[in-house]
Amino acid sequence: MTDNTTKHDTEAGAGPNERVIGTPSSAESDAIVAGAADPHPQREHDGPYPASETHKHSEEEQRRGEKVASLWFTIAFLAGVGFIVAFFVFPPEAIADPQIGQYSTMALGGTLALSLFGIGAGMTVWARRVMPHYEVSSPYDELPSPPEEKRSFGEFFMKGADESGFTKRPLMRRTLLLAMAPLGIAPIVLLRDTGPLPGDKLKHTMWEQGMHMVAEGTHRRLRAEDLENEPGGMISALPYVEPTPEHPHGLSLNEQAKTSVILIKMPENDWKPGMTQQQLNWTYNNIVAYSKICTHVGCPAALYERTTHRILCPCHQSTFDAADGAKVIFGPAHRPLPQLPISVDDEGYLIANGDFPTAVGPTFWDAEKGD
Amino acid sequence: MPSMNPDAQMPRKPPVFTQEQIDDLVAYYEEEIGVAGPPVPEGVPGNMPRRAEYGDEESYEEAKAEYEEAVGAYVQGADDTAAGEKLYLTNCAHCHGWSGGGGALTGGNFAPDLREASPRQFYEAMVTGPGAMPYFNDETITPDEKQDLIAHFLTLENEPNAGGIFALNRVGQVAEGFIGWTVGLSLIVACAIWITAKQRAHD
Amino acid sequence: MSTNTDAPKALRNTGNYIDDRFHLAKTGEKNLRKVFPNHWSFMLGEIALYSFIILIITGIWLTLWFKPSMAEIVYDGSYERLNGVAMSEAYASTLYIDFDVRGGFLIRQIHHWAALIFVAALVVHMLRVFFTGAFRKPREINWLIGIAIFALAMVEGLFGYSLPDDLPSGMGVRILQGVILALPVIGTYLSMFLFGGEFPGEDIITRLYMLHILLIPGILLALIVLHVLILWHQKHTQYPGLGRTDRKVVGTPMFPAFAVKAGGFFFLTFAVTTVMSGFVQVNPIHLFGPFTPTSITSGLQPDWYMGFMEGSLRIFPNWFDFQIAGYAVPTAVLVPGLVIPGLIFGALAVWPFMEQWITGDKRHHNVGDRPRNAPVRTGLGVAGVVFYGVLWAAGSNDVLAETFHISLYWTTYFFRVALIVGPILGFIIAKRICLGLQRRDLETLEHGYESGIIQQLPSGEFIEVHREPSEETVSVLESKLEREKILAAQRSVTIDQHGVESPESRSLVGRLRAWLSHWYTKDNVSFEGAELHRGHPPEHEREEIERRRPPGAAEHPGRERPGRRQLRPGLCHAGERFPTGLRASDRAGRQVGPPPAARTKHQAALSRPQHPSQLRPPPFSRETRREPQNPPGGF
Repeated sequence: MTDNTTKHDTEAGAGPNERVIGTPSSAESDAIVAGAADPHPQREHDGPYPASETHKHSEEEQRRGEKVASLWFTIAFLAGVGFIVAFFVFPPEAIADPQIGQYSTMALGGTLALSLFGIGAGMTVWARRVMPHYEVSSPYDELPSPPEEKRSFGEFFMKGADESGFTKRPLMRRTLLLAMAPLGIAPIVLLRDTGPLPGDKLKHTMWEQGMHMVAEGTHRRLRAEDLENEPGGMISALPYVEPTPEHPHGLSLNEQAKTSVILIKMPENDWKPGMTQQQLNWTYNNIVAYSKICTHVGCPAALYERTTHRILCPCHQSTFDAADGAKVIFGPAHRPLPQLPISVDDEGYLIANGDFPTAVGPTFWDAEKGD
Repeated sequence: MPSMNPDAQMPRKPPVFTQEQIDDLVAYYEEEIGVAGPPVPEGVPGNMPRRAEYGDEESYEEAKAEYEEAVGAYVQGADDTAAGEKLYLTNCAHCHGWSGGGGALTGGNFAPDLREASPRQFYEAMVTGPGAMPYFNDETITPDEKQDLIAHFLTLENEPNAGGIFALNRVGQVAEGFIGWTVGLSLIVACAIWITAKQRAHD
Repeated sequence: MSTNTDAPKALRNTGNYIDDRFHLAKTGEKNLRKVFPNHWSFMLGEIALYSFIILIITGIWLTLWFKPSMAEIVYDGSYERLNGVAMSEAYASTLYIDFDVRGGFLIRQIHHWAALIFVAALVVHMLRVFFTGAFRKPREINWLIGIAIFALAMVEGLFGYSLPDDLPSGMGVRILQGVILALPVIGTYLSMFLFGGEFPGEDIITRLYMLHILLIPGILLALIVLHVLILWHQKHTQYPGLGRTDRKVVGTPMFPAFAVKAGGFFFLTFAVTTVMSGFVQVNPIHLFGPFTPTSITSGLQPDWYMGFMEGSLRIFPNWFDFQIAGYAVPTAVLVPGLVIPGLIFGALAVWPFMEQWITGDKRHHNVGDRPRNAPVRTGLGVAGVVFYGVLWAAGSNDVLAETFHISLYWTTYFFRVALIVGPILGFIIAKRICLGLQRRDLETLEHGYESGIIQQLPSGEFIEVHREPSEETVSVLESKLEREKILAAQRSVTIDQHGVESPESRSLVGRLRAWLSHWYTKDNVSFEGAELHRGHPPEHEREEIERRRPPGAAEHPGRERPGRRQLRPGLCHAGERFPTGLRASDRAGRQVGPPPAARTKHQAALSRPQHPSQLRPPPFSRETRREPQNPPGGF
């Protein structure tokens, strides 16, 4: 394969650039032979590509280009040295302070970037101002292969296949395929122990009759009167569990992800008629507990507006009406937020009156199916 | 004040009245119209001094330094900012955002930017529930816990951005994506244009 | 200057050593002579490639410290603000990288910015390929590989975003789990197996880590290598221009110039990524705080490339949720989570074959289309961009609502409508713009540029001097003729090689195809038969042009200059020879086309291959063609 110079471009003012750009006469043909198409072989050009009209940049221009490129490379060198210096200027103890960390990041990033840019810019200047600029042409592959080559390949392949007996001996072929089948299934089988079967795990939480609740982030059990003084109060709560060394807050993340509730103190008169008697029974003294986990895809839906009683999920804006059993009033969620039945114990502490009546979290296949 | 449209949420604006006038107004309200609001403990630093209320630069600077010192002491006084972070993330961040930049509510309302708020404004907002905000009274979140929460927020807010001076207003991924396209990709494409730019005398 | 053609001894020895073992002299030279056309938009794929290399380098470095463990610990490290906070080991080790390892913060930010730029570069590269028709035969397979790279890159990014186990990243995993749970029948099983139990469990980060650093990058690397090898083998497409044909590529050779340029570009890409990482904070996980399943922040967003998924989850309503015998099928999760991305990637993957089927164009293409010359494709591309863009914008609707104080719900309503109306408008507008540009091209070809010079002829007539378009420009504009060959070829959709209406075209599928084919090609400003006019150079310039005309100019066939000339010889019109088939397409056309009376003058100006007499548009007569502002100019 040979190539052809079809065109050259020069920078303004460089060389006899008034010449009209030439194209090889064989523009439409794929048979390009450099020697034949080039009426002036090697004219003023001894580069790798036979070219009729390649202009080098003038020596003076090349020298200027070299200087600029070298300047960039020198900057890159200095910045690279700066990077190494910056690395040692900020010791590891110091960068833990965010302010020093910021200086360190900027010093390292700035020097590294400058160093990289210097190399890149220098190479670009080198390619553009020192190297001669020209474009050469080369043929694309003729597609498809000539028929005789294809025929030859086909014959060869079929003869080989025949010889191997793969086509002629079905018993062997079929038993081989049969033998592959279990091996194909094996990797899927091997993935079985990546996790337990769902069973009814997703339908139940650890909430149970008489469990106390704490304001999330504290270890203080909540009393009904804590929310008493003003309707419109809200707090995120979790079940109260004795802390263990493993879980300082007493709950694993798995348990938190299912048991988290928001407690809302509703004004007496704001309940909507849509609330069933049962749902009202699940409240205590106008305090209602809804699951905090959105039934859409599981973000914590906790954005409670006291004035409209809307509970908004900040992820996808599903909106639930806290005054109406957390029914969906807008957005992509389908199921209401499950309501946790609550009451108080003898000492006035809020307790759960059992588990959520429906599955918490994102809706799944049998979420709305009983046990 | 007065609000031109009672349905629209009031954005944060520089107060028109002086602190003294506001105090008088509150005193009048409590005396003649309503009951006093929930108490705010002593030692929660109030408002940032305003230049307009001070005759000369010196006394203003003094008041400012005093205020900042009080805020510093308040933040130092918090004993468990880790608990404060937990409380903030569980009860505040879903409206106001992790960095306090605010967020959208329904009906064209918004949870305001917290980054200009003084500790006392934090505290008052929690116990009085302005606008659509629910109450967080001193029983569900005790004054000490509120101090933790506020201290956590102020510490976070004042922390220098370790990743560089441009923190994109701590908006997060939307701003990062925007900058990634408009600055990052554009600059690289500019480099590509430089590399491939035509070198020709005419045309 | 003398050229050194004798390799220095050391180099010669190395070369001999290699060639003794691999017989590479000929192959090596052939590959070093590989030609790459010059255009900045051909570098977009390189940005993606270089970003990927940066990602691998920085990613390997980050693994030296990152601990993919969800074991819960209480932080006691050098970043004081979080001391005493319960968090996973993954989060703590990320803090360690940020605050204990020198340069750790920088490298982590380079990794993140490079990821954002990687996917962005993939997208613009893909758009370039789409709009220029570079996906056409013989490059369909490489297009499919590209789609696979794009899809995998998104998943790879999502998993990487999830690893530090900070607040937003954990929420990304939560949403992923929510979507998996919504799958009918298998959802709960899949979720349990993936998470090793319930959400969040203790396994997911370890597993995502394996996927993020081994499996997916491995596949990505293989696909990218394959992508580049295929490109190398087939050679790059090029834009129309002088000497550039479907058989011959014109550009800079690999060695020496292109290698230096491409190498320099790697450093420039790396430099831009680094300067952003040094000064613009990205994904500050130490400020977010650790993940807990009970906390959330407003303005929660994924990285930009998952934004369209987030948007579709936000705006898709729950109206279509249904139950089968009490079992829930939450379409409000399934459609945006699976169907919409499936639709986007599916449409991308199918389009090259679809277009081929519609146009019946089975030829090889190495010269890219100018987007204006394929108005329907361009229109569809714009429609797709608008569709994606609306979903993307919807993914930040809370930020928009807050910033502009718009009702949150209204943004949702707006995006729901815009998702349907936007692409249609985008299609219509883009197509109209394309046709307008075609008309302007034709104008340029026929009359040249208006120079603004008024000249008085000896007869006393005033003319405006039109400048002749340069030869380069003419060859670019003329590339439209190639396109028109394809349009002509589409008629074969309904006609077999004997000129008889093919029985296939009477079937339902055949009619659909004929209809689509008509729709795809009906609007077109035909260049065929257009006459290149040199315009009217001022007298003194005319001599100048004569003088400058090189002796070799006559070598070009069909390039009689100066003066007017016919563009390339007329095209083969299957339709003219086979009027029977035409009626079929005509019939199909009539089903959808507006009645003639409804056609505006504007539309009538477009060539519509509806009637045999219209098939070859008459050479445009001056009465109908000339714009009033272009004076006749003394033919």
